[in-house]
Amino acid sequence: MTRPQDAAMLAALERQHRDLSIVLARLERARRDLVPSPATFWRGTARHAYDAALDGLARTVDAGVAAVRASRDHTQAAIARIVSHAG
Amino acid sequence: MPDDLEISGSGSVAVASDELYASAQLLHQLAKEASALHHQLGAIDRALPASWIPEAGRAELDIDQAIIVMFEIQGIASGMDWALGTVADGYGFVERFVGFLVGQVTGDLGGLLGRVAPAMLTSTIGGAATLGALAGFQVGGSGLGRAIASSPRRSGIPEGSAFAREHNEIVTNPAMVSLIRAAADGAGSAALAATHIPEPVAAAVGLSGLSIVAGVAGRVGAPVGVLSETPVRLHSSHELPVTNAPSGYAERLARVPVAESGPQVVIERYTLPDGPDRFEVYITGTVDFSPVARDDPWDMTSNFSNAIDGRGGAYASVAEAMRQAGVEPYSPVQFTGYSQGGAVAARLAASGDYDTQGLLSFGGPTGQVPIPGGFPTVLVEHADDPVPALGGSQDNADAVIVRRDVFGGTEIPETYAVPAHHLEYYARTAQLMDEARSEQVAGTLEQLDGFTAGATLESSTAYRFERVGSDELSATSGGR
Repeated sequence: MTRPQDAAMLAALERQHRDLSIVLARLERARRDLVPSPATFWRGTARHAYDAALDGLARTVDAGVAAVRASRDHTQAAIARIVSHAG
Repeated sequence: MPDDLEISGSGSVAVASDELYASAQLLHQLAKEASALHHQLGAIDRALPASWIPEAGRAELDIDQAIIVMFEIQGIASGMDWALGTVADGYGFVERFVGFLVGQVTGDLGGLLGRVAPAMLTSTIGGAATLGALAGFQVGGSGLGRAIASSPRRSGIPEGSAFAREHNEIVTNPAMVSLIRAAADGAGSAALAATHIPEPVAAAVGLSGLSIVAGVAGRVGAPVGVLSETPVRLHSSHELPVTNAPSGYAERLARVPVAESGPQVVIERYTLPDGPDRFEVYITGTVDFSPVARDDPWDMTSNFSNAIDGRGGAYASVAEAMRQAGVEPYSPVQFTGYSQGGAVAARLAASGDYDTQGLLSFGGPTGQVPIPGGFPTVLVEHADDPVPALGGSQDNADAVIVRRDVFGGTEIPETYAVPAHHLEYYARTAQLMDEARSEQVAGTLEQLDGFTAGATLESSTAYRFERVGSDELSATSGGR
């Protein structure tokens, strides 16, 4: 039997899970479509600097994807714990 | 590199490759998206974590972490976008500054040489542009002048003599093209000095740069029948098969008529459920390179008229074709031209006589044609093509200027005397433009293609015009 406070928590977590899923999908799409490929319009040191910056940007976006995915997965795990507790 | 497009204009001083602009756009969008996601994460209606659900607490921490990362992404992407923009602006600024200095120097030098030795006009730096513009004259030993001997034309300008084809690397050198462009700007000073006309007087009557040279050359040549304008008349017209509206730069260029002794203008008429008919006008390039006006209005005389005020035989022919096609002053019109056709298209758009909705020029000497803003304009110029350079420095800063070094770092074929001007190379550039991702090139194409969105192509008519000879004119007037 689910207690009233658990039901409210469950509903809040489900909303959170849905919102995080939307953010994750958008962020993964941005990672795929909006991080530029290594460029050919630079030469020499400028090219190394630009490529390094691009690499840093890609890693930061990957870190963002990982953080949002982790928060979604933890939210999912929290939902599962409440459901199993109630069961 | 041969397949790289360099983009400038659009009201900015920036000059950069399509790839750089496309990267900058992506970074700009990424920064915006990160900002939006930052706000979205902050607005999540979070579940209050209970101590007995540790996963909820960890999710809370991860959301906070993600918010910070979104902020970082926004900062990095914005910084890189700014850096790319600064590089493009810096390059554009330097290019303009150098162009300004070169213009000053060649203008002064042209004037000096014109004063010292008027007879040398055609061999001064300023004269080089005159030679180039004269094109058909084999004078002065100019590479360009000799290059364009009267040999058969094939999708561009004449193939030239064997010597010219063998040494076509001279006129295909971007440095030479830059010199021709600068010389075209300075040519006016030389011409004025040679004819003892004060510059303020020329300015007062609206002459500057190339228009001075063209005006002077026209005055000097007219008595002996050189560069002397004539009326034009319709020779023939016929309907073409109706297909579909053009889509893309390459398809537009492919509709420009180029057949030898064929039509010079093609006009497509479109209808819409509401509003007036609209028209796509395609204009060919120079056909006759003789300095003496003969049958075809697409000749050097029209080229010179274009440089002065655009009211030459080719211009008059297109205007008449448009009248016959039913173009009214309020009819929306888009122009596409190649070579001289590009210059004529620019002149028609600049005339204010038409409701111009778009302009696309390939290899046209349009630099000094004051094209008004307010409609999408794309001017395509090969960096190693001397013909657009004959139009002087490109002053249409609101237009999208697309440049490509066709033979940069590669072997130049000896097929033509001025290979980078030939249609097949502009067709390749048009293909690359269709694949381009920058807002300037891709976004402007959307606007050009949008001109016929929802419209039905009703007819496509090809027109051929001819000049009315002076003997014919005198016979007509004598018979009255």
